[in-house]
Amino acid sequence: MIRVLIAEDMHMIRSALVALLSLEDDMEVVAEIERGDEVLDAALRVRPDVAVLDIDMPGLDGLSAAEQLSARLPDCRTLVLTGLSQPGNLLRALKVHVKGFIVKDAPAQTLTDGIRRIARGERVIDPELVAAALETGSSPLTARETEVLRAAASGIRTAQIATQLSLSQATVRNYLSNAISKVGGRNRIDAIRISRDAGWL
Amino acid sequence: MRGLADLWRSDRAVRLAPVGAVTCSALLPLVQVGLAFSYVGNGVGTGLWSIAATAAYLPLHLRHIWYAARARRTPLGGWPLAVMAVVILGATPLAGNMWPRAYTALVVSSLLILPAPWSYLGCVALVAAAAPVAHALGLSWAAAPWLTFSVLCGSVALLMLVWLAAALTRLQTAREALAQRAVMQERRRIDDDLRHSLGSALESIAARGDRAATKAAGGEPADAAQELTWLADASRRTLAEARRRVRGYRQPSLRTELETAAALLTAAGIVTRLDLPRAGIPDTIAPQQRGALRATVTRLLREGHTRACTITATDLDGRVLLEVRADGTVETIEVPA
Repeated sequence: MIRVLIAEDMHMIRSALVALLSLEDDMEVVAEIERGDEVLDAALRVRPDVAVLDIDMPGLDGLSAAEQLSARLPDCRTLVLTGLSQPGNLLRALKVHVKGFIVKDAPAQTLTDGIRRIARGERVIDPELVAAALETGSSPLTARETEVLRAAASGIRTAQIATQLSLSQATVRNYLSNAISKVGGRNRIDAIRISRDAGWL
Repeated sequence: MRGLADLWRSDRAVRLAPVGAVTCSALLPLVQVGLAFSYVGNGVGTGLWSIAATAAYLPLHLRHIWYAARARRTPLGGWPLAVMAVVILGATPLAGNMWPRAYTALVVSSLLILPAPWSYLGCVALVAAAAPVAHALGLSWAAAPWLTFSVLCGSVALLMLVWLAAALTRLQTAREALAQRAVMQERRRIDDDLRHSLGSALESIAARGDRAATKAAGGEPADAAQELTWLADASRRTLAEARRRVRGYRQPSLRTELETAAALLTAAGIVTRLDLPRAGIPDTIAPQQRGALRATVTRLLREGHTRACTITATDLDGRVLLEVRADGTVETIEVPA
């Protein structure tokens, strides 16, 4: 029996996933989570074989939750449900040892097969996602530029970013300016939008 | 050289060309002023007249050059040209025997402002008059013909500069127009493409949906279920088709694709090395070869056992041979030039 944890913030989709997996003889849903920051605690409590995580969740995104699981519960394999609109996420997912990366609109059979294969230790990656990731290219931003742009995306001011990341305001402005120029944005907002669409943030 | 080439290709060269033409047009009269003071037979009086006359006509002349170098017609150019002619010709008896050299400005402005054939006639007359006028003002017959030569060459050089700057501006405008037309054509092509492929598929899906609704309402659940199953399959096929088409519109460079492939494989825990030829690789890759490369990368990402991978691109007389070597297995993809 494969013990599955499901983390999805949209109630209807979460219920549908639970209903779908409950129909499978070899699967058991052991936890349903609606926030990313609750995934680790729940996983430590129920010890699932596979965690099915939505990529966008309140509290903590699916990939960050997968990173926590990989560090604290390496036996639990993660499968992330994503959209094709942010292909750059595949690179991040592979870095945080995500074993499965499937588009949300794939047929139900793909999800159940994917969970079984991941439970067997295989890696499941949608070819469409690989193609989209290769088209988009890897992020041109350095780790620090990504960090600063991500902080800016939360809507805080330059002075607050500087305090948060222990940098001077001039350095923050430099990083932002580099990031804007590298992603080809017209301004900070445009750079955030481009980077988000590509999955680089 | 690369920096110079970049500058030449850039819009900056187009913006600077009229400024260069105006600067060169201003330099010649300034030399003229110097000669009015220092040349044999000239003095302070001729120098001062030369300064005054140059100050009067030069702004008008530079205005003509500025508009012409930007490929624009000078607004109200006739009156300033008339004033220039009066000033230059009127200063002739007062500004020294080298003053006929200033006819260069009159020749250039005439050609830029006056319509043919009057402009040509005026220019020939001015060039021809330079030597006799200079002789009449005291220049020897040995030196005077050089003045005609100087006016002729100076006029040709300035006109070439103005023509070059104007040509650059026209080229830039034409390039922008071409780019806009290309964008319009591409939009139209995509529009036609989508209408003929995805449009018809979506219409078919809508029709099936209506049919399924009718059957469900008419108490035929089995037929309605069959229609809905078909509808779901057709929707997925249409979605896949839409993605394929969007991918077809994007043309990432081969280098970007290879570098991203290496980054993805490395992130998946496969030690990956990318060897690219120093001579560079083609910018694009045909869809078939791109598909083969993506299939290989997907397979390597899915296989859990691969530990090391080397992607080598070899240049073979314009063609590029991509070799993906992973744990003893080798896959070769040939990218035509």
